[in-house]
Amino acid sequence: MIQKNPFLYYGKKLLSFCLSVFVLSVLVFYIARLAPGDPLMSYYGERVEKMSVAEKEWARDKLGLNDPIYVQYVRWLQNAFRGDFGISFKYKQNVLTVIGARIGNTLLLGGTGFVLMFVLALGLGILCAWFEDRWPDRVICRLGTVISCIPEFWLSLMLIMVFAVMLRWLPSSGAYSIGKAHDVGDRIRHLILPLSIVVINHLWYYAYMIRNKLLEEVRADYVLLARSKGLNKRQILFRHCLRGILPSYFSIMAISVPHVLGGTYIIETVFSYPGIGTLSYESARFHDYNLLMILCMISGVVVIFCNILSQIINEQIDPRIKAQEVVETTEVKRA
Amino acid sequence: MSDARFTLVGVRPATERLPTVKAPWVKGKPILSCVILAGIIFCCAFAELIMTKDPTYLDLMNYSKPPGSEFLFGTDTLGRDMFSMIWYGGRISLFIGIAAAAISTVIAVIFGSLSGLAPQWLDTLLMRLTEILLSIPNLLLVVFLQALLGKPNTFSIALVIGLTSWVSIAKVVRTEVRQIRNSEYVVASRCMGGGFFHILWRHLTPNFVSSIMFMVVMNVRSAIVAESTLSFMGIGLPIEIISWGSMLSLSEKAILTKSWWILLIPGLFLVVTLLCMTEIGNYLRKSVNRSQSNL
Amino acid sequence: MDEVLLDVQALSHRFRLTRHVYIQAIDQVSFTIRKGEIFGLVGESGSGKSTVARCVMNIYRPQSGKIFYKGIDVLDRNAFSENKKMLQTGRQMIFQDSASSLNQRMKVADLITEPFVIHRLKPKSGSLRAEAEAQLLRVGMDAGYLDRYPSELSGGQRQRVAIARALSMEPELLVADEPIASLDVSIQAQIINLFQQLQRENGFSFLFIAHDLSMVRYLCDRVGVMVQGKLVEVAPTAELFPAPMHPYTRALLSAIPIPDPRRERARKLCVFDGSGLGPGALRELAPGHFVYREEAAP
Repeated sequence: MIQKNPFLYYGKKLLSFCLSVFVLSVLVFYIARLAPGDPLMSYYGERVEKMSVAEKEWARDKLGLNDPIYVQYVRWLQNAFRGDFGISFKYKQNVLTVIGARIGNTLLLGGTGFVLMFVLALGLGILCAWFEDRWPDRVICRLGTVISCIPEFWLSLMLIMVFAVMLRWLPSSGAYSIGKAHDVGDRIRHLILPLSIVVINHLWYYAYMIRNKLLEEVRADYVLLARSKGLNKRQILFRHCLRGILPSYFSIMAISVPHVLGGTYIIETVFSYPGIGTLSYESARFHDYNLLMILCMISGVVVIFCNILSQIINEQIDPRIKAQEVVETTEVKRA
Repeated sequence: MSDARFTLVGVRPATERLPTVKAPWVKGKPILSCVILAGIIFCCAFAELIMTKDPTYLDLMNYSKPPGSEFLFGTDTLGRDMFSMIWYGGRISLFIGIAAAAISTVIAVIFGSLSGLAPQWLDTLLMRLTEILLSIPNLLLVVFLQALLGKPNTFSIALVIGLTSWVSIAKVVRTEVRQIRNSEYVVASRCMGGGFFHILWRHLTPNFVSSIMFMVVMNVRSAIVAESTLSFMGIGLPIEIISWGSMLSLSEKAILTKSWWILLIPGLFLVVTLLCMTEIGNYLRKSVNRSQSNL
Repeated sequence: MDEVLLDVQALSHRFRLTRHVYIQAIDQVSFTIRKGEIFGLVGESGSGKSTVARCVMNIYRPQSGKIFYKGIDVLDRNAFSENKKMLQTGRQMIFQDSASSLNQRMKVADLITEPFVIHRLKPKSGSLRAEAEAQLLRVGMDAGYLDRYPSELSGGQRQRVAIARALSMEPELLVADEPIASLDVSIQAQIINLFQQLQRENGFSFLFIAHDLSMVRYLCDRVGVMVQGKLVEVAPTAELFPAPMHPYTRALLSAIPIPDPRRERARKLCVFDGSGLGPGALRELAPGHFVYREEAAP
């Protein structure tokens, strides 16, 4: 009865994506402007205190800070469509330039961490499911519970303390040593500590989720059938069960992006790693509106995109989710 | 028909297979975690009896002293006694955790039920809104709320954390409510004229309490983490207000002077407390399906 | 006996399945219930009986039509909110499945007094608990059940609790949506007798929905027959059962088993061929006996 037109389906998803992004931009814009604090501070720094009232007015006027918020928003939106997201008040550069200089670092850290984490999580999940309730499974689950309780920043501090300060094996902060911006080896050395924290911190939770999905799967009746056909344990697990959980694996991956992103932001700040995490922290503290806006939009768009992606995956796996909505629309409002 | 085998068919006695010795009631329950957590809470609540020194006193003669007989856990870079600070500050950390979780739970229950009981279009709208809210970096929200609430103190931090961490519980509540809302007893209650809060309190809450218990405990946990992270980053509690988080905010200096205890001890207390909470939370969650693996 | 309590006029309601698929649950249904009358509504599953009941109780908002209760248009939002308390206490409903219409996590005492709590009414017998006890006694249960949970009661006892809850407000209109369908036959008789006794004592009007024709014949003063969302025949019980006029009613009545083997074997089943359901309206063919007649195509 339910006809699904792929164009309509994806069109709707696209529309809801665009709408969400729009609402997000309005929300962020208002939140940022309503927050008290003087943006002139970030533009002129200490000089603000010496400026006269008239000078301040002139400066506010020049930056367009005196108009009503919706006028400022519309102006921002018009410029945004032309690819002009304004100037960072603090860095006095085009925000895209400021971000462009740093986004690579974050992508390198977050992206590598994300991929590593999920490959390892799948491996660990399979390992646990294979040895269900025997010692490897128990040790991994136990270890996972303990590590998931350690706050990211504290783990970072401990690792800095041990490896950077006491053993002096690895650098403690930044993305590269001064003057060695193009030295690949130096970059990698700087990446090791933050990267291992990104991976260690999230790995267990997702490994545990994958383990549980797999354990659900091996209790299905088709596994009994496969065994009765004479397939061995490895064939069943890798050929059949793994394929069964693959969609939910991707869905988990998509949902996890915001978590990993948030974690990366904190880790960047601890390591003073020049990525967009430290940048958004700075811009929020110093009311650097234009920069803040675009940073929030970037992470917001990523998160919304991943949400919709996981929704699509889930609906493909389980048409019931879609059907549920249909049933729910039959409910009639009460008088 | 005199064959004994035939007469026996069907009347073979069933033997009792269950173990006769009953498992002790403590089996599978997180006793150790409960005891440790209760101990920490107790010591923090009665910190005055345990403290050997004034935790706020800056003993400039004895800064960054390693643990010893006078300073059991050493002193921090400002010369405060760590042992006293742990108990004194734990009080604030735990308070923030519980208060923030309480705030977020109240918001989540109301929002979730509202969304669950609302007609389809409103529900979709509200859920989309939470997704958007979720996609704003928490850091920004926290900084903004902080700015609105003025100079951070214990209550404002608890409020900020509570206000930014209710979404996941709200989603669970909403799903539960959507399942219950069409049950006849809710319809009956509406029919009798029961308003939103009546239905929420008398019918819905008892049904989803069990399913959000785990999440509430986990929220206490993540609120404590959030407090310490914020304080560490310098946008949470200031150094004068002692909490496990603000104790860690001295870590940069500590790293330079290699004073490992300044980092290790508050962190250890933090992790142990969180671990106990996780264990209890996991126990509250329904036990996993114990059926036999087919593999 | 003659004053009209409930007047349903041309009630229609449809459910949406998907964007373009609708199900017409009820179609132009009109009937009245007089004060102190027991009105039975019969029909097969899916004929729209429960939808009628739910529209009458303001659970569904019908697509079109009017419902007057004591002359108040209950579908009009303003009129509804003006008389909200009177409407919500004066009309009570009993659901089919007492296991799901009573919250499993509440005790019997709390279940019965829920309407008092909602409307902040002072019970006549002083405390809420005493009121619950008094109501339980009315339906033939003693105070020992006050602290039980619904899951600890039998189906018949649960249904009695539901009845006690509905009657605690001393309603003028009681709507029962297949109250006996989920019970054993022996318990059904108990509940029907209880209904009859309570109705005689309290004199409420009663909309009784069932698909068990013998029960309806025993209990009701007037009967309406529904099929495929249409009300096809309305008549006093004493007239309908001996002389059904609509083909569907005839088929339905011919299906009643007779507790006498010889006559049961001789019983002839009429088969309903779906005729007589085209566009049309109820016509009064005999005094008080309305039958649905197709209108001849113009």
